[in-house]
Amino acid sequence: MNEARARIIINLRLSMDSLMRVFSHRSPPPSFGFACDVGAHPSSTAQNLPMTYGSVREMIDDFSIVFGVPKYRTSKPKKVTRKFSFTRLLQPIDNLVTCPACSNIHPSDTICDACYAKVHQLTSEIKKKMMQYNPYVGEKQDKEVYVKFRGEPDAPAAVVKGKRVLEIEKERPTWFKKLTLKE
Amino acid sequence: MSAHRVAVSLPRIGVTIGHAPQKLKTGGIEPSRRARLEVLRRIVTRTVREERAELKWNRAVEARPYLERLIQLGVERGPLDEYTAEMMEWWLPEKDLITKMHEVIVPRFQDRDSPFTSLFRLPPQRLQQFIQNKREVWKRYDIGVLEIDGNPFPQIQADRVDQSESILDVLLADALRNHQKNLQEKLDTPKKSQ
Repeated sequence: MNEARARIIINLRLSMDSLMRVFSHRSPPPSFGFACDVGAHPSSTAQNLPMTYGSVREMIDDFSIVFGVPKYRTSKPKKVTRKFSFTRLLQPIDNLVTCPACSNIHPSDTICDACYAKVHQLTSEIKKKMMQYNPYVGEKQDKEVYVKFRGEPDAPAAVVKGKRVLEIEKERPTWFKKLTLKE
Repeated sequence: MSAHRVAVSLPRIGVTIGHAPQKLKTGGIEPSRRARLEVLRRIVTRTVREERAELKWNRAVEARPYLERLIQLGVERGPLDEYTAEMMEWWLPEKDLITKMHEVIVPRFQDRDSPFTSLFRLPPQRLQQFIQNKREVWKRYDIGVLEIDGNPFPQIQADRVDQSESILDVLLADALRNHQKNLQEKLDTPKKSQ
C-alpha cells in the first residue's frame, strides 16, 4: 500500500509539473504546497522507484478494491419475484399413501385426517357432555364415563357399575364399537 | 424427598424422550425454563381433564413423558406417598383433577405397564394465527393428538380388521397353495436323466 501511495504521489507531481508550466507566472496554491511537502519526504526513495506502472498486473492490483461491489441495484419487484418463486412455494410431496378405509390421500407418517374428522366431531360432543359439571358446588370427575346413544337399550348393570352415564341425542355410529364386558 | 432417589425406584417409562431443544413460549411469561414448565403444566392439566387433546406436534412430544411419569407415580407409589402428592399438587393445579387422577385414571393402569398414553400425528394444517388490523395471518402447523388410554371416546385408529374371509385373500391363498403343491410335485418326481 505504501508503494502504491508513493506511486500515486509521483503521478500527482508529474501532473503538477505540467500545470506549473502553464501558469509559470504564479506561485503554487497552498494545497499543492502540502502535496509537495508530502512528496518531498520520500524524495531519496522516489528516485529509485519507477515513474509509471510497470505492467498491467500492477494496475489491476491497484484497482482491485473496486471489484467486489454490485454494478446494478436489485429492484423490489425482482426481489419479491425471487423470494416467492414457484420453485420455493410449490414443492412436491413424495410420501403420500392412500387410506385403506376411506381412500383419502395423506402423508405416510401421519394418520388420515378425513377419518379423524368423524372421530373429532363425536369426541367434541362427548367432551361437551363430560365437561357439564360444576366444580364450585363440589361436583367432581371422580367416575368413569359410559357413553349411551339414543335408541339404545340400557346396558347391563355389570358394565355400567359405578360409571357416570352420558346420554347422546343421536344414534350410535356404525364405526364406534359398543363397550362390552370383555374389555 | 430427593427426586433422584424416587426416580431410581421407578421403572423406565415407555415413551421416547426428545433431546432436541424445543421453543415452548407462552404469552405473558418471558421465555425461560420456568415458562417452559408452565407450558408443559398447562398441557398436562388439559390432557388429564379432557383425556384427549390436540396440540402442536412438538409440544405434544415434549409433554408426553411428563404425563407418563405422573401417571406412573400414581400407579407405583399410590396417593398417600409424599412425593406423589407433591408432584400431583404441582402438575395439576385444580384439585378436582387430582381426585380424577387418583380415582379414574390410575385404576385403569394398575395391571398395565407403560406407556399409558398414545400420540398420533395429523397432516399439517393451515390455521389462522392472528388478525392484525385488516390482515389475517395464516400459518401451517404440525398437529399431534395426545390421549390417555382407556378414554371413553371413539378410537382414533381403528383396529386391524381380519380380512382373511375376503374373496381376494381366499383366491390369493388358493393360488399360493397350488403353486407350492406344484413345486412339491416337481421335487418329488425323480429326474429322468439319473
